[in-house]
Amino acid sequence: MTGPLPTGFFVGEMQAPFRWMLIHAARFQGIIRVQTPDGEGHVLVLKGTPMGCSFRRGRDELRGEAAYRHILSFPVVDLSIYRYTGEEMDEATRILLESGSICTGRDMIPEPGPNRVDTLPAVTARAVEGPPLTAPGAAVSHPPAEKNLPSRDMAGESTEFSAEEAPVVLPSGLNLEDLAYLLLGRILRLPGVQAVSIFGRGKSVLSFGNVELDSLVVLAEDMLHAAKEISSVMRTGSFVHLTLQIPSGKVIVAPYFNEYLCILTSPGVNLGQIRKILKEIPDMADDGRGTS
Amino acid sequence: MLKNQLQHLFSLEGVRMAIVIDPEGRVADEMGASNIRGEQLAAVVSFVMAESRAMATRLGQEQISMVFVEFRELALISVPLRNGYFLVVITEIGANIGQVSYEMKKHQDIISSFL
Repeated sequence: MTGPLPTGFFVGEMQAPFRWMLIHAARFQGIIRVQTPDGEGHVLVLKGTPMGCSFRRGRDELRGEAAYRHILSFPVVDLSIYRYTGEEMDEATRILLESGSICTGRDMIPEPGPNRVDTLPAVTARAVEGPPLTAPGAAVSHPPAEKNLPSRDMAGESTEFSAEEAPVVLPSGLNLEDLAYLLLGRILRLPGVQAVSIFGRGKSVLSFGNVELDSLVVLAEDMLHAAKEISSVMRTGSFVHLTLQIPSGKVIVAPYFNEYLCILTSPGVNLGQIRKILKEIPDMADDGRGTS
Repeated sequence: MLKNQLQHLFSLEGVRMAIVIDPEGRVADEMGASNIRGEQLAAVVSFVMAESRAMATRLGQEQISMVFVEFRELALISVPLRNGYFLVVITEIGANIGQVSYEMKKHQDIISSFL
């Protein structure tokens, strides 16, 4: 791996999607050590921007953008965070530069600052295989790939929930598909969660877990439509979530932008943790969801 | 009496309505807000319960323990009773859902005994 980097000041450990970590590191400088099922590495971070990266996978050592892309390919990774002083930052940068581990591609670096937003059409997202490699300074355009997250406007629904069909605006550096992976990864990591799926129009769009959810989403959608009918007889406000509790566990259905999430859990799951994550979904959307 | 049980649930903070629905989706008894149309609500809630039962069956379960539906302005909790009846409580957002569902489960058998 790269030569000995400064130790830095240990801040803490966590499990999270790496991109999520960066979004919350706008004022951080230091090294983030990363462990994945297939190896370990580190990312030098300056104010939310990855400056250098190295990753050892068995006998292979990935450097720079290749290493960074590999880390991003995991929905959730184990992170150990160490803060650097200015001097330590300079030294680490020099070491990574000498080992060829500096990240140079502009496209892989999220814009600093949480307020900048990129607008994406509701059903369009970039492919998730990670930011493309570029030669230093080279400008690359990314043709948007059609993603199969279906929109219900095509189904002609006219409930109050159709009001959610607004263009989705996400924080810089994230697209809908990245966000889906991050969210599903976070939920799946919670103790007691067995499987999680994003679905729409009776089809599972994306799912993770050790239980096959594809055949359940049709039933989940039926429950959802039945629950929405409650709004036809009384003033309810918009739908937040539905939880079915059975002796063997729980099934939770909640909106996810223009789709829905279906979460299958064991009986002892901490619903509060799941609801906390679910509550972040409208927050993420409200941050930039356009109304035009 | 069934009414007394419903009165107890209705007296909990944030509860707007407590209603017992029969297997045909009609109101067996109710207590609460006059602006909520009990018969219509019973019909749609029985629909929710039927779909929930279908999901439970698919997951290999014969019984459901509880259905909780949350909206921005209210929440609905439903638990099964004896012989296909079920008890539904509607609460305001901010009500102590843990306490309400605890009281519902606590009174489940007593309410069932009146049916």
